[in-house]
Amino acid sequence: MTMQQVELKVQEQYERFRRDLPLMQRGPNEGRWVLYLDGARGFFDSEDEAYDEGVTKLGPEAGFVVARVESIEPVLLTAALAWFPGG
Amino acid sequence: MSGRDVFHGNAGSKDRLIAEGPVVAARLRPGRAVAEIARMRGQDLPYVDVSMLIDTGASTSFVERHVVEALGIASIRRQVVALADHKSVECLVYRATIDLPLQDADDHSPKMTPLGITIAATPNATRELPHHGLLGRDFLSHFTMVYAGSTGRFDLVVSSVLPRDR
Repeated sequence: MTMQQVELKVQEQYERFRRDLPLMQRGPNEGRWVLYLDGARGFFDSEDEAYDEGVTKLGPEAGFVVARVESIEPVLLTAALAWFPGG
Repeated sequence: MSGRDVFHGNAGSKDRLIAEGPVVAARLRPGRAVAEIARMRGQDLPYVDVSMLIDTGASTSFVERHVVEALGIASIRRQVVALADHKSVECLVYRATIDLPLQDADDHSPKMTPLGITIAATPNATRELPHHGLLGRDFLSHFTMVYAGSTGRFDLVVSSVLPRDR
């Protein structure tokens, strides 16, 4: 599988994860990290644990998603962008 | 690892530190697990030497996309990033390893220390930038930073268990 194909898979899985997120947030795993590939494969206390499980059990090119079970919010590139007066 | 290993940053002068900010020269590469699989396949292990600006205003760490593309690793999620003028862009997020030259607290010898890092990839710059990316507060959460502006130096003192190279 080429890296482009892997990235398409990750994109597809991330969209599925986003659709499933509200349901996951209503369960006991809010705030934990999920390993996601065609559904939740496991919930973990850290991103490292979830990633480790994904790479070793599913493979680095499986197209899995690692994300926190929490509302998706934008982040600022850097705080200076928000501060600039008159911006 | 000792809890007080340290990265010594030196811009060369007070004025250069003012002009350039605290910049870390390091090496980005795929994490250990990905590297092991590549080794088994007989593949070369890519790496990119990068200069990263420490930015206490950034909550997360960023690097230009071409850097992670050169590493040949897959992303693990997306992140919407707000830019100036109320614009935003969806960035791919990666797990990688950053090798930092730390000085050992006990014998003062330098050693390249691998740390796991989560890093979002920005679109490639359309002009030459002074750095490859930003090290944000997620990265800094493992260090005590000493910014000695009058001397042109800064230190990152390890203050918690460093994220493992995975």
